[in-house]
Amino acid sequence: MTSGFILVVEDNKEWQDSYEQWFTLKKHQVVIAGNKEDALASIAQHTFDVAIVDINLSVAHGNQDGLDIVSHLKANSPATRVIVVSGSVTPELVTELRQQGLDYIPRSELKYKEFVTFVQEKVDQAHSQK
Amino acid sequence: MNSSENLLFLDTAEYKRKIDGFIEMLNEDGRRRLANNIRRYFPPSVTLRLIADRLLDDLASEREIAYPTTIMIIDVRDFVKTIRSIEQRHSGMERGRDLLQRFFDLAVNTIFSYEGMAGEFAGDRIMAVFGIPAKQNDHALRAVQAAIEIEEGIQKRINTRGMNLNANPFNVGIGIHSDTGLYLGDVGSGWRRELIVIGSMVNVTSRIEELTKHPDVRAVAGHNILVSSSAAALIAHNATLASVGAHVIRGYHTTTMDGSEDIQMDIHKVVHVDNNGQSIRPVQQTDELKALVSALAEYIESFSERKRAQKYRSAIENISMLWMSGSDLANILEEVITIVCSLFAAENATLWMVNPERTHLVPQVIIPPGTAVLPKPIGEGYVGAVASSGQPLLVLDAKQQQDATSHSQKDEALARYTVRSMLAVPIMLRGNTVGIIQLLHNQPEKFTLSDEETLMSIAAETALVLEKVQLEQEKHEIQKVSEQLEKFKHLSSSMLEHVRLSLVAQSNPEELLHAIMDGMVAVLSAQYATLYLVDWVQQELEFRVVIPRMSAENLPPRHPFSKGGIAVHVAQSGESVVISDLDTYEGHGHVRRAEGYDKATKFHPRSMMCVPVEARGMISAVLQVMDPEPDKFHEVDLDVLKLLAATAGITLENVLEYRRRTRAEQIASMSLMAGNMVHHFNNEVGLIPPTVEFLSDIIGDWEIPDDQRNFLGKNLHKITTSARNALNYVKIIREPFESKPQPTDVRTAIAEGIRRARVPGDVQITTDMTDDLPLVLASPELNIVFRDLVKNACEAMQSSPEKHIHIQTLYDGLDMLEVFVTDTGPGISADQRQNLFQSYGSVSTKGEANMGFGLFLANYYIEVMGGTLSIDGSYQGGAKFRVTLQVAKDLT
Repeated sequence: MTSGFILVVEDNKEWQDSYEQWFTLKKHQVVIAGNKEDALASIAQHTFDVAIVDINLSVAHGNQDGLDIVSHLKANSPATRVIVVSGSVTPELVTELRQQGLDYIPRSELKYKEFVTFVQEKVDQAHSQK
Repeated sequence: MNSSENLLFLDTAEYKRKIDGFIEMLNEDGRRRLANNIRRYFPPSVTLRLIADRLLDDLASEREIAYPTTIMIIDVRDFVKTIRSIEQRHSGMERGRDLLQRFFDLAVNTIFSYEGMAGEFAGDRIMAVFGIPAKQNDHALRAVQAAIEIEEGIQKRINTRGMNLNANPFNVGIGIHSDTGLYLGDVGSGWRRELIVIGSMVNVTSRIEELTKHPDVRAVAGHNILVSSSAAALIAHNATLASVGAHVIRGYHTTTMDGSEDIQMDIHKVVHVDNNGQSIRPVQQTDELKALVSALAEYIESFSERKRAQKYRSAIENISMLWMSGSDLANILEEVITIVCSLFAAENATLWMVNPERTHLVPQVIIPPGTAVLPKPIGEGYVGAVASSGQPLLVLDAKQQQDATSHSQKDEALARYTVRSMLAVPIMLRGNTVGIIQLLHNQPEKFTLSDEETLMSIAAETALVLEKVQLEQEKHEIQKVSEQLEKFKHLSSSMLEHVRLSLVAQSNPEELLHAIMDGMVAVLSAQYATLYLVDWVQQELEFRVVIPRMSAENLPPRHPFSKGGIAVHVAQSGESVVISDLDTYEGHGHVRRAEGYDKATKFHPRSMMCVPVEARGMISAVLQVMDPEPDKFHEVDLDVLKLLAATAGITLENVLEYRRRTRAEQIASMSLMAGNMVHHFNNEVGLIPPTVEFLSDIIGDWEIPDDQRNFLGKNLHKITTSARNALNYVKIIREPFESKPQPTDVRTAIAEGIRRARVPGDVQITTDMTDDLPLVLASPELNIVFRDLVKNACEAMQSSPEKHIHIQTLYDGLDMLEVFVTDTGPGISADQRQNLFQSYGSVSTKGEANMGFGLFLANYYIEVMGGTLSIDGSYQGGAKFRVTLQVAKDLT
C-alpha cells in the first residue's frame, strides 16, 4: 500500500480526530485544516495526493468556504484527488459536484472500511500518475 | 303780467323733471283718464301746469273755488233760424255744421289763448271760466278781452269772406260776471265723466247774457258784451263801459228776515278796452311750450306702446322666474311658448330645439297643440337659416317674399299654413344656437322690428332659464348621486367591514364565502342569495352557496348553460342585471317556473340583482341577490353588489395568495431549518457508524475471549443500527424538500396510499372521486399521507363493530381541492386533537413506516406541499380528516 499525503479540511473536531486516526493507522501522512485560511495555506505549501473537504465547512461565509477550497484545489493543484463529504447538501449541488468530476460521500452513509479503501485507491492513482 | 308768471316750468331742467313726474303719474289709469279729460277743457299750457304741479288730484272731485273768478257765457243769436235758413238754401246740414264748427274753433281758441276754461258746449252756447284752476288776478279783464276778440273774430272770419251764406249776420251775445262761490269738479261715472262748473254765478252770468237781447240794452252803443257790476269794477281801469241800467237778475238775491230776495244789479256794456296799449294775451306759444306740448302729445300717443313694453317686461320677468317653479324642462318650455304666443298675438308658435348632433331642429312645443311639424335640417327653411346664422328673421309678408324668393329659404310650412307674417329668433347659449322661437300669423305685417327686439330679449331670457334649469337638473343629479354615493359608502363600508371580519374569523374559504354572503344579504336587506361557480369546461353553473344556508347535498343540481336564464346570461355576457319583478320579467330566457330553482330552494323571489364575479381575469362566479318584494333593488344597490363581487373576487384571490405566500415562506423556513438540523445531525450522529466500524476493526486484532468479543460486537452493532435508523429518520425530514412539488393526480396518490396501507380484510374502503378532478401540486410522498391516514383509521377502528373508511374528493372550482377521509371509529377526543399532529402524539404509533411519527409525518408532508391537514371537530360518529391541496393550475 502506498503511503499518501492527505489534506483533511474539516471544522468538526471529532471528525478531525477520526480522520487522523483512520489514515495514520494506514500509514498516510495527514494535514488537518479547520478552516478555509488554513486550508489555502497548506495547499500553497504542499502538494497533496488526496484532499477530503467538508463542503459545509462553516456557516460564517454562507457555507461556501468548502466550495471555494475545491475550486482553488482544481485550479492550483490539479493532481490532488478531491473527495467531498458533507452532512447535508441539496440534490442540485450533488449533481453539480459530480458533473465536475468530484467524488461526494454523504456523512450519513459513510462507512469506515469503504472510505479508507476509497481514499487508498485515490492515493494510489495519484502516485501512479506522478 | 309776463309769461314767466304763467309758465313757471319752462326752465329745461325743470321741464325734464316735470315730464318725468308726469310719466310717473300717468302710470295710474285714473290719472291718465283725468289728464285726457282736462285736455278737453284747458289750453295745453294749463294742462301742463296742472300735471306738472300735480294739481290733477284737486280736480278729481268737486271743490269750491274760494277766490273770485269770472264766468263768460256766449250764446249765438237766432241760431236755429240761421241754421234753417242755411239748410233751405244749401240742402243739408253740412254748411250749418261747418259754420258752427268755425264758431266753436274761434271761441275756444280765443278762450284758451287767455288761459280760460272752455266748457259746457250745449247747442249754440259756450261757457268759459277764467281764474281756474290756477288763480288769475286779471280774470275779469281776460274774459272781457276774449269776448271782444271773439266778437271781432266773428265779424272778420264768419260774417265776411262769404262764409256766412245766410242773409242774417252771425251774432252772439256775451255775458260776463265775476264772483266767488264757484264749484269745480270731475263728476260722472265710469268713462262718462265731465269736468263741470256749478254755482249761482253761472246762472247769474246766464241771465246777464240773456239781457243782451233786450231792446233797451241793444240800443246802447258798444259791443254786445254785458258785464256785471262786480266784473265792471275789476276792469274799470282798463275799459270804457256804458251803463245799461240796473236790472233784476233772477238768482242774484240777498237774504232777508223774510227769506231771500232778488235784487237789482248794475249792468254795463263794454265799449272799449285800452289796457294802456299792452296786450294782456298772456300766452305766447314759445318754442319751449310747443316742445313741451309736443312731448306731452307724443307721450300720450306712445302710452299704449309703453304699456305694451311694460307687458313685455312683465312677460320676461315671468319667464325669468320659471326656472324656480320646480317644473321639468318640457313644462317650462311649454309655459314660455304659451306666454310668447299670447304676448305677440301669434296664431301659431313653435319652440324648436337643436338636436344633440346639431343637425336638425326638433319641434319641442307647438301652439296650437297637435299641429304636425317635422324636424327640420339646420340650414333649410326660415328656422333652419336662423339656426345656422344665429340671427333673427322677420318676414313681414311671406307671400310677397316667397314670390320673390326661390332659394332654399322658401319655407313649405309657411306655404302650407298660408302664413303671411313670421318672426323667428335664435335662443343662444354660450355662443351656440340651442333653439328657435318662431311666431306665425296668417295676416301680413303682424310682427314688427320692435317685436323682433322684444322676442330677442325673451329668447335671451329663455336661454338663461334653460341654463338655470340645466344647472338645477345637474345640481339635482349631483345631489342624487351624492345621496347615492353616501348610501353606497354606507353600504359598502358595512359590507367591507363584514368581509374584513369574515376574513378574520374564517380561514376556510367555504366558510368565508358563506360569511360574506350572509353579510351581503344583511346589508342589502335581501332575503336570498346564490353564488354560482361557472364551469366553463362543462358549460354549467354550479350552486355553491345558497342563502339562507342549504347543506351541500340539498343544493340544486348543476344548471347547464343550454337551459338559459339570467345567471347564465350574466356569466356569458359579463353584464349586471337588476330586475324589478321576476313574475313579469321575460328577458334572458327567464321563465317563472314551478320547478327548478324555486322548487329546489323553496324561494319565490320577485326582485333580483345579478352580477358576475371575476377572479384572475375571468368570470369565475355569478352572484345573485333576491327578495320576495318587487322593485326592491336600485342602481345604488347594484353598485354595492358589484363592489362586493369585486371585493369577493379580490378577497378570495388575496386570501389564497396570502396563504400561498405564507405557506411558501413557511416551507422555505422549514426547508432551511430541516437542512441545518439534518446537517448537524449527520455531522454528529453520522460519525457513530464509521467509528464503531473502526473500533470493531481494531478489536478484531485484539486477543480477547470469544464471549467478550461477541458481547462487544453485539452492542457495537446495536449502536450502529440505532445511529443508522436515526440518520434515516432525519433523511425523512429532509426528503420532502429534495424535490419540488409537481402536478400530481390525487386519485393515483390515494390508490397508492390505500395499497401501501395494507388494509385488513375486515375494513371496507369506499371512494367518491369525480372524474374531472384537477391535478394538485404535490411531491411524490403524497401517497404516504393517504397511507398514514388510512393506516391511522384502520388502527382506530380495531374495536369498532363497523369498519368503514370513506374517501371523498371535493373541488370548489377555484384553487383548492379537498379530500375527506372518514372512518367509523370511536372518533378523536378533544385532548387527542390537540397533539394529534405532533411527532409523539399519534393515536397509534404502530406500523411499518410511520416509525413512531404517526400523523406528524402526514401533516408534515402536506404542509411542505402547501396544503393542510385538519380534523373536522364537528363530525360525529368517527374521525373525519380533511386534506386540502393546491390545484396545480395555480402555478400557471
